[in-house]
Amino acid sequence: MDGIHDMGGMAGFGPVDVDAVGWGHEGWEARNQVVALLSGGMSRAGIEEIPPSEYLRASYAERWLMCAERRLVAKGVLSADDLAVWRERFDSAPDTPMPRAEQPEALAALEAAVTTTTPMMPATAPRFVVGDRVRVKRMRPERHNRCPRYVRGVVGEVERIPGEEHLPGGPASSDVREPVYTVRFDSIDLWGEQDEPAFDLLIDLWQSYLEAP
Amino acid sequence: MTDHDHGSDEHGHSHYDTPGSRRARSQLEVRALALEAALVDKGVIASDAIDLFTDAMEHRFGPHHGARVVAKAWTDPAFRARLLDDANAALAELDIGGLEGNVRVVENSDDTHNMVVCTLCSCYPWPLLGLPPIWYKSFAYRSRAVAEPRTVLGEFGVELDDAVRVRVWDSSSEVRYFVLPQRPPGTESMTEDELAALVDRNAMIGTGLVAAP
Repeated sequence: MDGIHDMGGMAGFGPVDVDAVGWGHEGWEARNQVVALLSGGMSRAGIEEIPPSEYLRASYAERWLMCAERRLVAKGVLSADDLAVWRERFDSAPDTPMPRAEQPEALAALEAAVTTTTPMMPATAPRFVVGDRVRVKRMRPERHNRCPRYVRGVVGEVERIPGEEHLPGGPASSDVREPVYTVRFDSIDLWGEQDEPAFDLLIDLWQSYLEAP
Repeated sequence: MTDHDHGSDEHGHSHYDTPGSRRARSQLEVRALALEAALVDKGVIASDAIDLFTDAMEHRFGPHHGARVVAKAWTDPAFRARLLDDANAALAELDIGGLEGNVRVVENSDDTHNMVVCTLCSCYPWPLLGLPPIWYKSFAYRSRAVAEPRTVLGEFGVELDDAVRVRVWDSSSEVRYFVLPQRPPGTESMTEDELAALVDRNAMIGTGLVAAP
């Protein structure tokens, strides 16, 4: 879906607040990010479905929280009442203890999941080779995708083929994997001549996003 | 987590204070607590699993690992070559790896400066750098880094010679990019530990340079 999250090249957000060096504003954010991940509440598609006005208003952590609440209720894992009951408890009685339930027998597998890198699989029969010129297709996908608007229609050069991955936004049950290409674009082809010297923009793109120029 | 890390607790208390001294909670924090409580109460996720992941993200992952890798690459040419060729294997030698840890290392030189962004969300090499800072996730950085990188670098206090080619990496696939900064002059006699202490997070994202001591 071509949503507000696709921000590359937009103007109007002002200078970067380079002193905002924490990962959250209040301290609960990292743990909540974990809760969202482990419960299946987090997905990029879910974040991207947040309406633009809410997306822009909310902090990063709030977007994860909104996404998790909506997805878990939609999937029937929780009800809106479950959440309301606990909010009321923590609001009216701040000393309410957080419930605890442990599964120590599962920790070894989780430890491995946390500390083990999952490398990409090597690309099988890639259609393009390093050095090929490729054009990013014009498109307007309805589903989740990882092809930002600012590269569409632009020609670049394959610099590397890091491997293959599931096609983002494909049907959940599918096992569609595609070669992924690191494509280098010249900034003049993306943005035209600017006050800044030209630069290279590199981005990883799935094979079906690309065509021969 | 320390107050220094997220730096927003005006009362100077940590996040898990004793109930009697607890600061006022925001409505967002109450929602975050309610989400965890409801999920644990229903047996969807286990508390010790949340503890394990949160501890990894907040403490075990972090830029201290990235800095160690940079210092080793500066002092061990064979390691540097392996790191640039197959970062995952080289990092495994140092027991560094894990979630969001499928890494490619890109190297700065006299004529090239690399800089990493994720325009679509917040992709970031967690094992090497921890969770991304607020500025990395900000709309200003996400929108502008791919369009006017030198102006953005200027906001971080980085001025590059016009002859240096900037290469901006927009993290869109499961590859996580990590910048190997240039070793500053005057550090020839320093130990690996001393060198690692010079390297800060921004230098490994490409929004900073490593200053001579």
